[in-house]
Amino acid sequence: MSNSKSFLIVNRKAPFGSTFAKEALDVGLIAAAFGQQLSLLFMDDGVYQLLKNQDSSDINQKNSSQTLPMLEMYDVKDIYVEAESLQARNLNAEDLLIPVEIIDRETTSELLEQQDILLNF
Amino acid sequence: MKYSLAIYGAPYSSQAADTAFSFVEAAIARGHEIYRLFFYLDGVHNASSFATPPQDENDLPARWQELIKTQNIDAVVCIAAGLRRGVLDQVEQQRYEKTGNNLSEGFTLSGLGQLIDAGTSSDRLITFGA
Amino acid sequence: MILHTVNKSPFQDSTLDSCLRVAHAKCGILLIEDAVYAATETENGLLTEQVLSLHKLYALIPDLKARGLLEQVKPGIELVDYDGFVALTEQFRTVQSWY
Repeated sequence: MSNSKSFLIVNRKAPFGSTFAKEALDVGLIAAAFGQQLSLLFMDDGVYQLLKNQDSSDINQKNSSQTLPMLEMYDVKDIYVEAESLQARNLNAEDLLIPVEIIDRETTSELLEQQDILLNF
Repeated sequence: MKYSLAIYGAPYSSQAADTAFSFVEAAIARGHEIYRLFFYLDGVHNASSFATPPQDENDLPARWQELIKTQNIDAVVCIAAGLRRGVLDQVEQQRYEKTGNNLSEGFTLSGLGQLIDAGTSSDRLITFGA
Repeated sequence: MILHTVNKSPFQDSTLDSCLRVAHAKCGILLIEDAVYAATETENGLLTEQVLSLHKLYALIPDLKARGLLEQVKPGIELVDYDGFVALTEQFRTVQSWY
């Protein structure tokens, strides 16, 4: 499989209310396992996927946030969060489970433009 | 150019799969090659042979099946998403001892690696989400 | 440059707003499905003169026709059919789907 294209997974949905968060992460882990050049962007309600202290035991769902640290094991380090999405939700880096790079709207725009393949969730 | 589509919407639940179908037809008419159709999330329901809409309604699953056959398109249903939602082939029916199978002819169950490959091997990978 | 596709009504949720926030100047934005309602003149509409001058806006004819909007599209938005949709994806390098 070719290694030369860059993938960006764009996460815009909150966890648990739909399966986008979980099924997007599954794609990310496969892409990483296959050695693809992968970045992740979290924006809009997608930033909620990264919150600490999620506990889904009472709603009978798997907690995808527990899988997030696996990204680093697969050498996926380019994890971006859009600043205005965090601010609108009164969140900051300390509220998040994994290290991320917080980027403004212009940088987000550039990030999207640079990618070869956009996977949207 | 080589096009692949990632289709995440179920037929009848949203317009996503219909829009995707019309896009595929138009792309073929413009001379493009469809490298792969990858059905994921609720999109797996497009591959169910049990769909039975009223006769005066658009039978999208049947139209997908016909298009895939006549254009010889590689139509992949993500196996994990399919199993979860009850879209199985005969192999999975037997493996899990279920009472039936419903994967339409022409579709195959496979892994997410096929979506990644669709990205690396196509000129365009376009998502149709609900 | 990216072709952004948006499929939600601007009154339903903030999908179009989010797209506009991070869309690069000179990118393309194609309104499909319920997003075609954004192509009409509405109070506090998101597709302002400024937005229309920054980006290339398109709307999908079959979706406008289905919704009875063909005669109500604001100036500055180009109408395309499915063939035109495919043609746009040839012109732009990647497609970002907002849904």
